[in-house]
Amino acid sequence: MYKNIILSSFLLLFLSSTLFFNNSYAAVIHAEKNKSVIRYKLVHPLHTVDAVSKDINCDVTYDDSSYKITGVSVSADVLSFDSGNSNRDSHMGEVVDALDYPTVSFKSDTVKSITKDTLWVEGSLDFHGVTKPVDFKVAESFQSGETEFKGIFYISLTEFKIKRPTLLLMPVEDKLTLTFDMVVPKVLEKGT
Amino acid sequence: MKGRALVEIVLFSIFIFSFAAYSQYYFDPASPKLYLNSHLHSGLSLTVNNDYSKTAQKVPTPILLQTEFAGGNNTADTLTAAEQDARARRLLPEDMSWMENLMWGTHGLFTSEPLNRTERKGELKLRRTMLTWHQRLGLTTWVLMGATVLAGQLTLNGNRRFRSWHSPLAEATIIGYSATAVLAILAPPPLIRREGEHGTVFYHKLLAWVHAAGMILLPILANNIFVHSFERGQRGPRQIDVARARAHQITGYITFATFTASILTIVF
Repeated sequence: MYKNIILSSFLLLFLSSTLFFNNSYAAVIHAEKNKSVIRYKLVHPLHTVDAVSKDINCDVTYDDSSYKITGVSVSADVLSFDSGNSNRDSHMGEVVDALDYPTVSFKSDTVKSITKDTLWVEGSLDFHGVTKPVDFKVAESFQSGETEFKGIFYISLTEFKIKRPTLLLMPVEDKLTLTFDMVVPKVLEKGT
Repeated sequence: MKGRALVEIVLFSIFIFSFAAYSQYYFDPASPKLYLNSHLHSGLSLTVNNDYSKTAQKVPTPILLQTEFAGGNNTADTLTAAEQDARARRLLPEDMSWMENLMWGTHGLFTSEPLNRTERKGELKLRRTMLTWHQRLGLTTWVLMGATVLAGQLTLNGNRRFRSWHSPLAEATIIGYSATAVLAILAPPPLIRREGEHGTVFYHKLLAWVHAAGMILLPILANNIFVHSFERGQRGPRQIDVARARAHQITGYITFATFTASILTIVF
């Protein structure tokens, strides 16, 4: 009799602990603004344009129980990109219709781990009012309480209905290279 | 000849006035902005204006657009004049010369009040058209200027038949140059203009001061190349004054070189 009571008590205790003390949840971690950057590279027959934005909102959704990144969302103001020439940046603002579409954003719910330090991200890029699927590799590294994500991907300006800007009557190449370097203030451990 | 000189002087007066007005802030970006139409800001605190203009480049555009245009009940009708003015200013760059303010400011001659996004988009479209034509005409003018210099040099080398080419080419260059400059000067302001930036466009405009000065000097010097000789108190036939011709020649080369350099700055 006593044995049954003791066993039942242990069972109840175990169940309640799993019900009430299970602290696994998906946390949203904001990337550090002063350390995270997005760059774009645009090639013109006469020279190459490199612009950088440090005004980025990046959220990484991380599941503590499964040790997995379950989502990523990134957005940046299109006028925040600085190529060192405000006339050029203003021109870019014109061609991407910054007054109508002020932000470029990326959202993903599919983040797969390929290797120990490489992720595969599939998501959608919203740029110039056009949403297109994009996927790319992300290199992950850990250092002093932070996780850094680096990656590169390419888009076509015309696919996003952007008229290619011209300089001295010559248009830039259609390919826009986007690179990013995001730093989140937490080591996002991976499950085994 | 006098009529031609008069036309050149009138063209350059317009050009120089516009150029000086436009270039004001480039050489003194820290100076307080001179709003010619400041009387229209009556009732507005200057501090409020400055605060908003300062945030124009620093506050991300999404904030502006989401609050101002993407809905809500803050329509233009419910806003005070100060609020409307501040919002409109965020569509404009932080630094605007008094001439840009006069033409394209929140209460500019060519803008309806209050300045709104639709109108600003139209301005930007116009700006792009004007700057595209600025490039087209600039390149055409460069060719014309090169041909003028060449014809002038050949004339000085003794090929007198090129003198009949030199003058019309010079006139075409003056017209092309003035039109090119006016298109850039009168274009609506860009979306962004960062203070203290020394990019390619800065040097493009800096060199413009040199070739603009050259373009003013050249026709003046040209009109004084031929002088009457005097023998025994009698006025003789017109002759080339070699020193003056040399001054015109050197000025021509400097002008062409700086004009070329100003185009090249855009490339790099």
